[in-house]
Amino acid sequence: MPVSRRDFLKISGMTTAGVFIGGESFLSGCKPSDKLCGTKESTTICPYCGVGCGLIVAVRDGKIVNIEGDPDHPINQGSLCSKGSALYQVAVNQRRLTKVQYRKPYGTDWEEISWEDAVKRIARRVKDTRDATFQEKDGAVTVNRTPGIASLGGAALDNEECYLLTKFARVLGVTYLEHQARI
Amino acid sequence: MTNHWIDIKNADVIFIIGSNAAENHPISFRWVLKAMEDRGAKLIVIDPRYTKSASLASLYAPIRPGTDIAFLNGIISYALENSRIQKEYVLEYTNASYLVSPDFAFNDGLFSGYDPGKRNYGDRKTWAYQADANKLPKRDKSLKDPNCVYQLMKKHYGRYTPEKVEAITGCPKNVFIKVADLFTSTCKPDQVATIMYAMGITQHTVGTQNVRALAILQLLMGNMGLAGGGINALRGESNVQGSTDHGLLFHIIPGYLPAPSAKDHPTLEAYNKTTPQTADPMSINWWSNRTKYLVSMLKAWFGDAATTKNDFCYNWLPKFGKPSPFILLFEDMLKGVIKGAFYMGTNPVVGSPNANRAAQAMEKLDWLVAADLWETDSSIFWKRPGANPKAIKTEVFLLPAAASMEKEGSISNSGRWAQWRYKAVNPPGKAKSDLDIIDLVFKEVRSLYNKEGGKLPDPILKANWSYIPEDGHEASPHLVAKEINGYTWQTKDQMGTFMDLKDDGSTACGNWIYCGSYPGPGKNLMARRGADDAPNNIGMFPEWAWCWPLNRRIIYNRAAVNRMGEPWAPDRWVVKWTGGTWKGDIVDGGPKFGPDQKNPFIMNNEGVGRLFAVGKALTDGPFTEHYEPMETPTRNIMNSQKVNPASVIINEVAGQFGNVGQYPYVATSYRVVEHWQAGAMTRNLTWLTELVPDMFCEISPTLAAAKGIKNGDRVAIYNARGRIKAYALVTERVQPLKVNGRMVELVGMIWHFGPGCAATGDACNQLTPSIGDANTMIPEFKAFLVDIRKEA
Amino acid sequence: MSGKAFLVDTTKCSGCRSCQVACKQWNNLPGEKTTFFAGPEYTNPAELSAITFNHVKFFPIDRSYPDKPLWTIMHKKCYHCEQANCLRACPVEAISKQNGWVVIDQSKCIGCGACENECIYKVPHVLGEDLKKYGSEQPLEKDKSYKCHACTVNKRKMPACAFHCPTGALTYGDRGMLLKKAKARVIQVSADYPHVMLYGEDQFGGLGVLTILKDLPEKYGLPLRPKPIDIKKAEAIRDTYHLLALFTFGLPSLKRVAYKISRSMVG
Repeated sequence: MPVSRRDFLKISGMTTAGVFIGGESFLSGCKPSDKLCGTKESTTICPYCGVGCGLIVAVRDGKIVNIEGDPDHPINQGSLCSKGSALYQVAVNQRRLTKVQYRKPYGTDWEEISWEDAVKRIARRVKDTRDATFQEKDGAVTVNRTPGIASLGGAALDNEECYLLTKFARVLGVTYLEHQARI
Repeated sequence: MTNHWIDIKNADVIFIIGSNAAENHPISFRWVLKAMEDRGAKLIVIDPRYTKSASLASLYAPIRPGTDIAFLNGIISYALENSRIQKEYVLEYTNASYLVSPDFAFNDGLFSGYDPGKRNYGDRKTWAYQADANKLPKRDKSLKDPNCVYQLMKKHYGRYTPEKVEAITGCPKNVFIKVADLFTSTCKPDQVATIMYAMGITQHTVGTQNVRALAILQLLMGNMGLAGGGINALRGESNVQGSTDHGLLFHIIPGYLPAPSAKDHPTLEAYNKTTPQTADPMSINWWSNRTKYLVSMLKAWFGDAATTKNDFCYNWLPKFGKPSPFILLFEDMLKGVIKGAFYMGTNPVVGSPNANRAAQAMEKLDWLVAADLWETDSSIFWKRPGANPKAIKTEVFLLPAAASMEKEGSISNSGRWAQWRYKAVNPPGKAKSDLDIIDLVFKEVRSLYNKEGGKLPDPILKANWSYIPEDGHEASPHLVAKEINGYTWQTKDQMGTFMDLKDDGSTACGNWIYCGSYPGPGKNLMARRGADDAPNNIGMFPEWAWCWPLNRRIIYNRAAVNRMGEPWAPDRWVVKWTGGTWKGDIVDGGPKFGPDQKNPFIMNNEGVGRLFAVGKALTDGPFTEHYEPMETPTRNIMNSQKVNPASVIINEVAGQFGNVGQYPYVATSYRVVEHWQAGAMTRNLTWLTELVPDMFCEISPTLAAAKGIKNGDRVAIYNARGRIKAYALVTERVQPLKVNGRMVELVGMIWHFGPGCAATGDACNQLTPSIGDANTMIPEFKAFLVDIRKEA
Repeated sequence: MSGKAFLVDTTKCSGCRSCQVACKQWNNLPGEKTTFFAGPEYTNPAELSAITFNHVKFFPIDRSYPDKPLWTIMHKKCYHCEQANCLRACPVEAISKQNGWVVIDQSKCIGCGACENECIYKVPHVLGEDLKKYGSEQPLEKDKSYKCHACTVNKRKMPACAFHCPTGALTYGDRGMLLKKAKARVIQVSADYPHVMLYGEDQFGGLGVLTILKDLPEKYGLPLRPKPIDIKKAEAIRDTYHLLALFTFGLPSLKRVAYKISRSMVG
């Protein structure tokens, strides 16, 4: 399949480092105006459906300039659907959140708070709720559970995040644990 | 998926039901079309609508939503009546020849043991094999004993004639027979069909039985374990495979171990008593290893605190009381039981059934922590249309999360391939990865317990939790991945296979099925990019990323060969036994056993595929039987039960179920390629909202004419649960079907829209019912009733 | 011809519209603001525009075929005609062949709309105020004509649309090879589609985009025997336009009127 950077990617032989330098090495004689000239590239996997297509993210000066299909990926071989082709707009989008938003009880709008403040307050809610609702026993059975807290979601998280979320929730005693696989 | 995406290219027949893969998994069609072009494969698509997938099919069959079992049972019947089965496979690798208890019975839609008061089958004692003196199931390899599974099947499935199929499903008899004939052409040992399905199969009160019917078909055809075969659930989210693998559900912990319940697993001893057992020397019974996996997980979680003396802190694992699947969780939220919630990238205001009720439940929360890339419909539930923020108490923290290319980690696709992603750029502003968020919150909670004490602080204080690398200040996905993979406790050596896990505390492993994914320092196999195929050349790409279990690309692959170890389909062999060794894919159940020594279905304790679902495997019957959806336009002509007799009915919402007199049209929900799930990841993207900017429904020209609706009109769609507005797409792709002598119209809706994000619209799920499958309680999104009218 | 071409195979298109989006991504084109669907079935926007260089049209399903309903989903972009009307009509030679592809040089374009008027496939469009679009990082200059340039402007070996097509419905390669492949495919699928045909081999001296159609071309708005604009006539129109242009005061709207008058004067 005669595609732009196939050979280059093969030579670079992705290992755990994962990021390789693009630019001139594959676009010989490129002009600065050419879209990918002088970009750094890394591979990623599409965050939409469960096919697991590969993509290449091109970055210049810390900013993503292009995301397209990875021609070396054996499943999609460079191709993508319309969602995958639009992934750039997930990364570069005015609507992305950049700060913690806080809505106080009965509030009518968001307020911005710091991460430090947010984490402190969240931990306080978690502890108070756990302590107030914790059940050690259900009859004679030791159950050690926290019915006051639920955790939902996870199908869009990485494996490592899913695992840590499972561990986090169950260590706290959470049994109301569900995500998109059920719906 | 038992197989994987590229493997579709190896099929002779591709059978798509309850999925519109061309729309929702578009790259799968790269391989579907390759099979069609290169092998002359035939594509069968069964769907209520003439979809994009149907437009590329060799054979399309329409079907009324919620009648898949009638259709599939009809094919099973056709196969049995016409001897279109792979007989050697069926005899050797399924329980067709096993004798069932003479007390087992089926009568008018009810299997033996039903308790109408409790709406369940209790202990299911009669759904059992007859045992011989050695406790082995009795068999009749001639298949003539009236109590053998094969004969019971003939009796049960013989009732599903093509005439019955047509009357129930609306699919014309001649089309049904063409489908049955084409699909069962793969009963030849070297002909293979793959089945691709998705939510159109699972989101029903009979969802699990729908899947069962598919599995029965594949066993009868001898298609399990082969290249181009298998049962392939097409996963809708990029890591819904991984999130399930890691047990983010009330009923399982990592690696599909049962989550401890107060009733069945009060102690570790009790837990281990439920470990599957077998007396059959032919059975590998892989689940007999379960204790090793549980103990290794406890060691990974509680470290030095977990010792033999304290049952490895088993007591610290919470034990659930009553089941809390999604629907029931929200019922408990509505009752005020749940005070606070974490929403890690999820959007139930759009995605939950009976979504108005879900939003009302959220108003009962004291606090909500939502991590997401942007405002979602759910994180702004307090200011959704019709809500009064000044009356809603919930405190909401909306945390800015990093997107997939702004952090590092792995995700698992439908084919169980765990693939590594890299961080290309920093997240915008102060956004953080979910990993970092979870780590920060946990450590802050721990510090509070450290300072103040509280209820049972030990699991929190003594949890094995250390994910900041020496040279960093953020939680490292590599450290977590290594814990998931597992290591020896004393020497901290990364392990290569779950066969080495122990139940004595000497090994720690977060999730046994991922053992081997990261077997040494710097050996992250999920990041591999090996571009070469294996010698059998069937598209396994064994050195591309890593696949659970143990990099096995096709599971149940022992079934790909006969008892001599010769491949059923030699031109696309998966494994073969030659000269006393296995070649090809990583063979199931360990390489030391030959094909005649062990049975192939290693996760069942009898080792063979279950045409009859023995024991307590299922709540609602050992064979598949047609029941109508909870909301149906017609009567059940197969038996006098209306809905699945074992489905859970929630009293509080029983009044919301509608009947055909009030709401005459069958409704179903689905997706389009341009949007994704609840829409937050696509309704903010202008390249996609250009293509599909608004909520719409699809109706037939006949329904449109009857209701005075023109293409592009605004319509109201409603039932007792809600009323939504949508644009009407009037299309010949939707046609009424003749069901039990009466024409039944369909209202199809996309479910991607909601009140938040850039492109807004009403949520289809305001109309969907709070009822689910009898086994999983997956909601019945795909068949319910509505009325529709043109908006003034 | 460049030797290269695209092949659109509608018998393989699943309508995922990756081509439509991938083009916008690579070429930094903004999305259009739409409501419901502007064309049949899922078609959006209605047609190609100054910011939509690739378009997928969903035709209404045809149930007149007995066994298999026929649903055509057709990718459309500039056909890159060998004898291109737009190129012949352009009064300022802003349109030229680059490696065989028909390319508009916006720095020369005066926005008179000659190309838009003369293209029977309705491909080039002058960007005006009336086009409802979302914001973009690199806004396009108004009153210039735009269309597909086969990714010659932003330089890539394989154009973004064909590169991303999942099913092989849109491929790119040597024109001779594609012609051969297309003819074989037509035979392969003729049992399923009795009227299947290849379009683009000869039209306008040969198109740079070949299309395998499931049914007769007229059904898809593609004339079987289009007549290219006569070179002499085009020259006369251009001469007339240059005279009239003296009275347009550089106003784009007047330029467009002037072109239309020139055309009707030459007849």
